[in-house]
Amino acid sequence: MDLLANIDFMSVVSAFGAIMLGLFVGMLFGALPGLGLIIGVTLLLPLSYAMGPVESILMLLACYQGAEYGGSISAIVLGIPGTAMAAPIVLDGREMAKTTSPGKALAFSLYGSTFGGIFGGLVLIFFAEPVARFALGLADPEFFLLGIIGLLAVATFGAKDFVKAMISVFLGLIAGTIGIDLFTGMPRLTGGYFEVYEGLNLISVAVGLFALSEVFMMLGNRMNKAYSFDASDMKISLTMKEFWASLKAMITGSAIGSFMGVLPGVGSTVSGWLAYSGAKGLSKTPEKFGKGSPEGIAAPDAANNATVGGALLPFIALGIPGSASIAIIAGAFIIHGITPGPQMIRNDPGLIQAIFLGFMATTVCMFFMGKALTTVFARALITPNSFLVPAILISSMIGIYSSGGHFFDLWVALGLGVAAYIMRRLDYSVAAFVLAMVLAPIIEKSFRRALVISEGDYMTFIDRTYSQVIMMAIVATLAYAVVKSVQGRRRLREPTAAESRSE
Amino acid sequence: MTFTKTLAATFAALSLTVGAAVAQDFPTKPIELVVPYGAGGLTDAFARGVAQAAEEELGQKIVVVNRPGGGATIGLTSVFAAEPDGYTVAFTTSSPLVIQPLYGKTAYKTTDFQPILRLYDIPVAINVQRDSELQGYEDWLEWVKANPGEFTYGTSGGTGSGGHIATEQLGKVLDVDIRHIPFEGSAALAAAVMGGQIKGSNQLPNIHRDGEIRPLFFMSPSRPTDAVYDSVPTVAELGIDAEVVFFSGIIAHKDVPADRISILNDAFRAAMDAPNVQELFERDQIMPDPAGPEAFAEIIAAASKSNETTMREIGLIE
Repeated sequence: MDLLANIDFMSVVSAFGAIMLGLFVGMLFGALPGLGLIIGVTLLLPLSYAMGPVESILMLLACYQGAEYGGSISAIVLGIPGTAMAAPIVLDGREMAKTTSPGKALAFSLYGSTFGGIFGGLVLIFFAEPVARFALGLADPEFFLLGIIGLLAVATFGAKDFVKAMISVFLGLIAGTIGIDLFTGMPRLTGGYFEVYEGLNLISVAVGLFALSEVFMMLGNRMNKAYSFDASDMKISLTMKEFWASLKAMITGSAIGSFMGVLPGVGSTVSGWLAYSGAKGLSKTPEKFGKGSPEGIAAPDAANNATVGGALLPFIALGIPGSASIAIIAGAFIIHGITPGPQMIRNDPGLIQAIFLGFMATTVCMFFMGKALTTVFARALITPNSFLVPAILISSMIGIYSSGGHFFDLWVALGLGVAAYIMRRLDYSVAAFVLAMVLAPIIEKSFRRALVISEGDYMTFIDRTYSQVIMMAIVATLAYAVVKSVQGRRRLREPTAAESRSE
Repeated sequence: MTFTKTLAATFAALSLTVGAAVAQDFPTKPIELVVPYGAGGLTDAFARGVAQAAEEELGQKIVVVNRPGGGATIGLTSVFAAEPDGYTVAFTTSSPLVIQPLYGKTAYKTTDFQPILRLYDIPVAINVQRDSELQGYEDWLEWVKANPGEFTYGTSGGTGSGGHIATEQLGKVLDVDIRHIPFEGSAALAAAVMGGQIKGSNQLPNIHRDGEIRPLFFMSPSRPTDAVYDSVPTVAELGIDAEVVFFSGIIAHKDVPADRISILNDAFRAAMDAPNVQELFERDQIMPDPAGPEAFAEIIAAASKSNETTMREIGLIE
């Protein structure tokens, strides 16, 4: 008996160690622009040969969780999303960090991430089988409509100039078609470069658009400038009241994130954007979005971390990896001779339980590790730009090169960085460009494939129950937006007088 | 052209006479094994496993370099552009070697490379969802003939990929009308089969893992090693002339001296029997199927020729 207790204690300790290692690597790689989740997981994978199955799987999942949160740290602190998934967090996170309190912004992000992680975990534990089955029923017509909803999210970014936002969207859509066309096998817009046959490298795009353009912005300002904040502003915590106020956004984000994570190939890059616009639509104070709204931080962060549980779900229930990272983590299962899918749940319930428990532990550990580490990361804010710029550039370049091993990708990033710098100076939306670029392949492929399968019958988009539901959601969103804007205009006329009096 | 040929011939003659001496001179520095895919996949796993085992045979380090992109042609292009001294070789699959060059856009031709060793073929089958009423080849053929254009099959590589070409070839040989639906990866493809969006697929089945992708018949010469597949026929056994070989193996630039090729062949061949490589074969349900330079050369030539014919027939190339 004593021995058993000992073994349990030891395995808990080693699992804890594995989780901490995974979290640390994940957060660090997530926070460094260019170096992302996939590189972190790939680096940790060889370690898993030497570990037990539970430890190695938890370590990789912890890395996944940590990276989803880590990307937000640099989005808030530097205005540079550490990962493509964290791009929506720049909108409000950066604003709140600059104008109010960086600590609060990071706290909303951390609480949101933790909430999302737990939410995704619970969905995974309790609804794995039914949700995975439901998701299998969704097909191209629905993916197409979901992609359209994603594009509508652009309207919620609060662009000053609608025409410029639309130009960004169209450029993004065009950029998203670069590469070999799946349906004809012909290269499109590749300029003869084999490096873009499989599309633009998303890492070099994200780094170019966000990191490099931000660096150019920094270079354009005073290089020795640094923000200064009171120590109290750097504290990463929320009051109960603040937590309650953003709870609705966290729930919205988590629900969207876990759902999007389940859909293979659609998931993680889009879910943050959808969560952002979803939370804005449901918010009592949508006018604050884009100006440092706590909900605008909490919702996409919750969505990103909820995606982890969501993406794991079809993998555990059906053996289909829901995202590229899960596909790599699948390697760890296979190394240990575990076959994911229904038979794992049947044959090895102990292992599944250990993974589920460990997954929840991962999220909780992330919260505390985040609290401890984020304060250190946040110091970047009070570091002068002359130190930050070279550090960001080095990390970006290493990240881009190691993602594909092509110098070509560095040139792409530089070109896009310059373009994004000009776009930002002229008030074109970089966020809209990226969103359109990641959505373009989903929208185009599902649209064309739906029609190929239906032999050109457009009814396929409206005669399926699932697509009807989504179609209704789109109409409702549009109607709601119209009503809101009419109301908003009416309200604008009345209280402006009152506001100007108080100022 | 003639000059290079003469040069190659001179080299070959030289290496024949001083073969023994040269043999000891190679390899004297680390060898680069280029993998035209990203880290973490099946090809990468085998390349790393084999490299590790062959290091002991050669007494030199073998560095695995991932050069993904361009439909795996970037990796092969880099081997083609490297010094033909045998220190840069590629671990390739069939597509960048016997399909991509046929489109005429790659910097290299299939014949710009010479084979060192074929390690295995990836088994592929025509599959249906596990609970489909189609139980085997006869059921399927009858259904497809009765419902022309109704059998939708997915591939994970899209139009013009190996799976597409092979299945179109099958359709031609059997004179049936089946429809290709391209997907962007095997996860999305598996989900579409399981969800009933498409009737079937050309891919690696997974019922040995309790999955839902059930094979009707294999298009490859080999089957996965699990006993659950023993009763599923191959096209060769069914007498259909549509066999497809998705080989994976190691190749080098065509100008690498023959004795170096043979040293590399010996080392990699021996590496296939190493425990860590055997473990990979077992894990991924793949039958080891070594073929030396001559046999592998025939496989490559045959695959290239058959692909060219089919691609012309279905209008992918002119």
